[in-house]
Parts: sequence; C-alpha cells; structure tokens
Amino acid sequence: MPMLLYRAAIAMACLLVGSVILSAQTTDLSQASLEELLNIKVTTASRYLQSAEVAPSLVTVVTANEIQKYGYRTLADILRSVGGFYVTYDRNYSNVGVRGFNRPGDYNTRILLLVNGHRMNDSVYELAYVGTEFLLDVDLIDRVEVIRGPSSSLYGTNAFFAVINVITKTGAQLDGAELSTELGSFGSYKGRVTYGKQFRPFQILLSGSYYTSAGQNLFFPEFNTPADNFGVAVHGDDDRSRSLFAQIETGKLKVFAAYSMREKGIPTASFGDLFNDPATRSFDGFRSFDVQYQTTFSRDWGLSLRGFHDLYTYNGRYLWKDPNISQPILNVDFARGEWWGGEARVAHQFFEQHKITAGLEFRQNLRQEQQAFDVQPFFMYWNDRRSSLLGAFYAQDEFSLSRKFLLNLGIRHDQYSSFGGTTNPRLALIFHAREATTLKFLYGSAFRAPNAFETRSITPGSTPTLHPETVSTAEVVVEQGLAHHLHLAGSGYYNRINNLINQYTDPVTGHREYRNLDKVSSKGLEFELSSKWLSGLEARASYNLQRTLDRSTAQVLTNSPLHLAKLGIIAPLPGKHLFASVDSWYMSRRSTLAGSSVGGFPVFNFTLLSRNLGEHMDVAASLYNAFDKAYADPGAEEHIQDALRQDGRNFRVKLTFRF
Amino acid sequence: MRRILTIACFLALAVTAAAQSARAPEYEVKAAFLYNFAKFVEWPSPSSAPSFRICVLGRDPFGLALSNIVQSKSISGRPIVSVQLQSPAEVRLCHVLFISQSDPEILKQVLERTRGLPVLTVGESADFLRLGGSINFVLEQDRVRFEINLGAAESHHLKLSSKLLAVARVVNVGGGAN
Repeated sequence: MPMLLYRAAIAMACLLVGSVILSAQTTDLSQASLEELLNIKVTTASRYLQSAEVAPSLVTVVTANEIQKYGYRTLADILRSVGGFYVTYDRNYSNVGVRGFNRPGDYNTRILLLVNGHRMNDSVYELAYVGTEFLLDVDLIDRVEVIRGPSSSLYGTNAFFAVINVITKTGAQLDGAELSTELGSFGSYKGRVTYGKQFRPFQILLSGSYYTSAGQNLFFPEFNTPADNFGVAVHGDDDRSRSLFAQIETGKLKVFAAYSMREKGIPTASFGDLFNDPATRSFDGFRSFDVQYQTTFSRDWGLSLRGFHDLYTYNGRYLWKDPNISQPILNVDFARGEWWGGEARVAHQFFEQHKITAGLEFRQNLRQEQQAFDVQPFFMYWNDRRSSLLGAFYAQDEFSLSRKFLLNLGIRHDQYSSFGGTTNPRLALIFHAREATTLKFLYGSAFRAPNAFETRSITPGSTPTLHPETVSTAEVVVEQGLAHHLHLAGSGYYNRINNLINQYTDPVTGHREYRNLDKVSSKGLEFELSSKWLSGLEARASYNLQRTLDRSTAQVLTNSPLHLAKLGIIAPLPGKHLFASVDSWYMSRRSTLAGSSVGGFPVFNFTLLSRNLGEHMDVAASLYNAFDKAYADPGAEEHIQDALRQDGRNFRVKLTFRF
Repeated sequence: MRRILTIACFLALAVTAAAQSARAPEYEVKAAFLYNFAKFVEWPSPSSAPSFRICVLGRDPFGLALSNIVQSKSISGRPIVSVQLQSPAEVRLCHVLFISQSDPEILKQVLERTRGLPVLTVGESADFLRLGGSINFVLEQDRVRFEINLGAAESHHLKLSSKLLAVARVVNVGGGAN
C-alpha cells in the first residue's frame, strides 16, 4: 500500500507539471480583433469533467434561488424537499432516508456527502452531517446536486443510495459584502458576515456564521414521574454552531478552507443517561482543506487534480447514574479522525464515439481514534487508535453507439489496508427516443466499507471479520419534456442489499460486536415533475411508492414509509421582487422498533420573500409546520422513547443586507 | 498500478504536445465577440444610463469570462457592466442582450419583450434569427461565426458598422423582424 501511495503522488506531480506548463500559454481575448476572434478554435469547456461528475441516473438539483425562496435553514431542509428522500431527527443528529431505507439507530453512512467534490463523511463513523452540524451555512450554497442510485463505480464507499454534492457560491456571485441576521422560534438567532469579490484573476469568498438556539423544554411522557420533573427536559435542547469558510479561485485553481463546530444538548436521555440534565451534550467539529485544479486543453483533454486534508472531532458527554454511587457519573465518548489524500482524473475523447475518464484516488487515515471512559470513578471502556490506507482506481467510458444510444460503462476498484479489495461496476444504456424523451436503463453495485467504529468492536483475532455492505440496483428511468418547460421523470427500481452491518450480542459472553447480518430488498416507483415559467412561477412535485423488506423476516423495515409525496410552489406576487412559496411533504405510516407505528402526516411550510427591498435588502418570513401538525419520528435502540415528537409550528424572520 | 502511472505520465506529455494551436474555451471567445459587437454597433441617442449593460438571460454559460473581458472597458465614456438577468422583465435595461435559451417558445416570448427597444439581441440557437433575433452565433469547424438579421437590428434602431457586416453572414429573414 505505501507503494501505491507513492506512485499516486508521483502520477499527480507529473500531471500537475504538464498542465501548469500548458496553462501559461493563453491569448488575451479582450484585446483580440474581430478577425482574430474568427480564427480562434474553440473548446467546449465543461464537456468532459462535467459528464464524469454527472452520473447516469436520476439527478435533482436544488439551487440558491430555491433555498432562499423556500426558506430552507439546513441541508436537511433541502434534502427533505427532494423526491424519495426523508430526514428523521432524534434531537441530536439528522438521518437521511433514501427510497425507503433509514433504519433507526443506523448512522448516516449510506449517502456520500461532498462539498465542491470534497468528501465530507468522516473517517471514524463515516457520517454525513446534514443538520446544524453541517460544515457550511446554507446561504453559501450555489446548488445541491442529488445523484440517486449506487455510484461506487466513481466515488467508492458510502455512495450507496445517493451522492449529495454541495457546490458553493463564488466571490463574483457575491460581488460585495453581505450581512444576514435571522430570528426564529425557540430562541433561535443566526448571524452571518460574507464578503465576496473578484480581483482579476482571483475570486475570493470569506464567510463566518454563528447560530444559537435555546431550544424547547420538551415533554417526554416516558419520563413522567416526579423524580424526572414530570417528563419535562428543561434547557436540554440547545443548539449552537459556528462556522468559517474561505475560498479563493482562479479559472482553474480552486482552494477552500472550512471550519465548523456544533454543540448540541441531548434532551432524550439516550443510552440510559440521566433525564433532564443539560450537561449531556455532544460537540462535533470539522476542519477541511481542499485544493482543486481543473483544466481542459487541446479540445479533447480534460484534467482534474485534487488534494485534501481533514480533521474531525466528536466529543460526547453523557451523565448517567449508578444506583450504588450517589453522584452522577460523567461518561466521555471521544473520536478523532484525521486524513489526507489526493485524486487525479483524466478525460479524453477517442474517435468521436468514446469519452474515456480514468482516475486514481488515495486516502490515508492518519488517525482514527476512539475513546470512551467514565471520569469519576475512572473506567476506560475502550481506547482505540488505528490508521489505515485506501487506494482506488476507476475508469468510465461513455460510448456513443449512435445518435440515439449512449452506453455508459464504469468500474472502480478500491483497495483497503483494513479488509482488502472491492470492485464495483455500473452500466447504463441511455436512449434518446425522441427530442424530448430519454430512457435510461441502469445497473450498478455499490458498497459501504465497515468503518473504524464498527471494526473496533471486533475482538482482534476472532473469526468473523467484517466485510463491506453491498447493494445492487437495477433501474429504468424515463425523462420526458412536456410543453412550457414542464419536465417529468419517472423511475422504477429494485435494490438488493446484502451483508448489512448490525450489532450482534453474543448469547454466551454478552460481548457486543458488529457483524454482517441483514439482507434487505426494496422496490419502488418514483415520479418527479418540475416546471419553471418565465413569469417566475416555479413548481415541483414528486411521489414515491416503495416497499423495503427485510429478506429474512419478510417484514417491512422500521422507519420506512410506503408513500412519500412532495409539493413545492414559488409564485411571484404583484409588486417588485416579491415571492410567496409553499413547501410541503407527506409521509405515510412508519413502523417503529417496538412494533408499533408513527402515523402518516403532511407538513406545510410557507415563506414570503421580498428581494431588493430598498435595493440593498432581502426580507424573508417563514412559517414552518404552519398547521402545527403533531408528528413523530421512530426512536432508535438507544432511546427509551419509541417515537420522538418533532417540532410544531415555528417561524423565522431573516434580513439580508448587501453592500 | 505501474501501468496506470505510465499512462498518466504519457497523457500529460501528449497533452503538452497537442496544445500548440491557438485555442480558447468557446464562451471566452463568445464573450469577446459580445464586447466587439458593442464596439461596432451604434445605439440611438446616448441614454442617460450611467453604464453600458451587457445582459445574459437564462443559464449563464460564461462563468467569469464575460466580466473578465468587459472589466475596465467602456463604450462612449460609460463603463461596461455584465449583468445576469433574474427575469425577462429587465430586458429594457440592457444594451446587449445575450439569450442562452434555445426553446423556441421561450425565445419568442423574450424577443417579443424587446420589440422596438434599443437592445441588440444575441443568441445561439437555430431558430434565433427566424424568431426575430438580431445576431446569432454558430460554430463552424470549431470556430465561432455569427449571422446577422439586418431587418431585426434596424427595427431596434441600431446601426451596424460595415466592419461588422463584412465578417458576418448577413441573412434576410422575411417578416421575421419585429
């Protein structure tokens, strides 16, 4: 493996040198005459790299425009609006369900989260953070690309159900300073300062955000006793986060550095903690650094290089009560991941018909540390330090069989120092039946590698070793353009999931460890309708019908709704730059771990936005869960609660000033 | 792995060798053309607008190219600014309007809104001139060319310099001018 690392580094250095030489030779087009311009041969800039990014699958894009007009507060809010996605919240972390799969207690590891192509799943739990703990303020997002289906043939582990790529705004888009402040229910406040500018040839973007929410005094009937304050957790739901983001780019080079830290009170007394003690809380932090170089040259060549470094920390502080000791005991759960790595990708067009993309990736997990201990009396549960390496290579061919048929073949091999190798293919046949009609036939497999947290539970030298979870997907997609910019997409899919990793308790020794246990299959239908009129009216609607079964029990999975429907409408109102929006979703009944269920429910959010008020100000007012619908998400094994009640009606007012 | 390493290095070298002819990204060239159009077209009586506005309606394919080109340039004493329009209602504020849209229905509606205004409409789709647009980009053998609908330009009270007409393909679209 070190050999692989070394070679990858050499290859990247080689490519970098070649491309830097090239980028030096440019013409100053702003001084060119008409005749000179007529003689310049042109390259279409985004042709290759973009197509390698965009998977042959059903893709949904959510833009900054929608984020503002629908009043989305977090990435979780954004994903809730996407067809086939549902997000559950346990008052600490948000978990993303895709196409009927979101088992309570599983970590959010089966989607791959990228920021400008930079992997954000951490190296210990491999979680994708989408709530207030996400790296970025959503105001910095230019667009979110949601790519459904298995994408391990390009991205490796975690690209299991979907890839979420968050793309940030550029300095030129900001073109000045922005001050934003917002007030919301539950004592919530957010402030943001952003500056973006273009100084030829550079663009810079600098931003800092601070968010704080006092939270609610939540009532949990499970703790309704005098000893537990009649079930009310006072000041236990607070949420505080801060983040910094800096980005500098020229045409080809893009560098960003980001920092985020979130502190959250845990009011649910999960893991048998003491109820109604605000000292139980978690801290999650990220520091990310990314350098990306992208260029195209000589018409047919594209090159992309990336280097990255990340530091992730998690610090959980849990108070629990030992009946034999008078004082509550503070339990500390700590994890730290530090990793760095690089990627190189080359794309080339061969003989008009073949567009080949090939890439290398390596990642070195310098530190994967996990500790859990009681402070007083001191007891160390585990203190685990490890490091690991990953090397991967992949290739993809977009083969134009004819004007109407495009074949997309991709394969990637990942080699892990911890458990070995895995190879994942993807095959897609794309048929442009008519000008407005496209049919896609897709088959692919994806994997999720056992993470450091799961691997730690295995006693060294014991026989069962952990293998990657796998999913195989077959899907047919129909995309139809209808009149007046109405776009309809329909999909039918079948997922076969094997080797799902779950906790196993040895009946004799009581030892708990993770094993490859479960098998799941799911099938479903998905429809998505979107339209944009010139008047500014926009609408999107989606509907999912899905059935996700545990293959050994033939039971529908917990937290898996049969129906999922979304509707969003943005309407321009009379008057200048005034918009009203409704964002709503419906989810049908979901079963819970205790064999009960949480009922189906619709939620409606309304936002009124005035843009360019007095030229320099945007004002937005949002009402979330406007009809105060009482609904709950299923609890996980660590919760006494079988269902966790979600927020009722709440509001936010947001002011943004531009200079 | 050794093979991939070799291929990667080979690619880098091949690329260096291949990059000798004068080439530029399509939209950098088109952005430079937009600036040249502004230079070689005469607008009716200079308006009181403080800046000369080149607008983009629809998806912005230029990225930074357009603002790079027009930066610190001016037309008859007014600084050029590039503007991404939020809605077609804003077309009246433009001197040059680039429409990336290719849907004929939409194009028709947008061009309708520019009727009679002193706006130079520029597009890049097959139907653009037929629907009443003034200048249309076409790609020929990897080079950017443009066609001019003189009748349409005149209906917008614009005078095109002979220098521009000399290198363009002037087409006459019967009744298309509005």
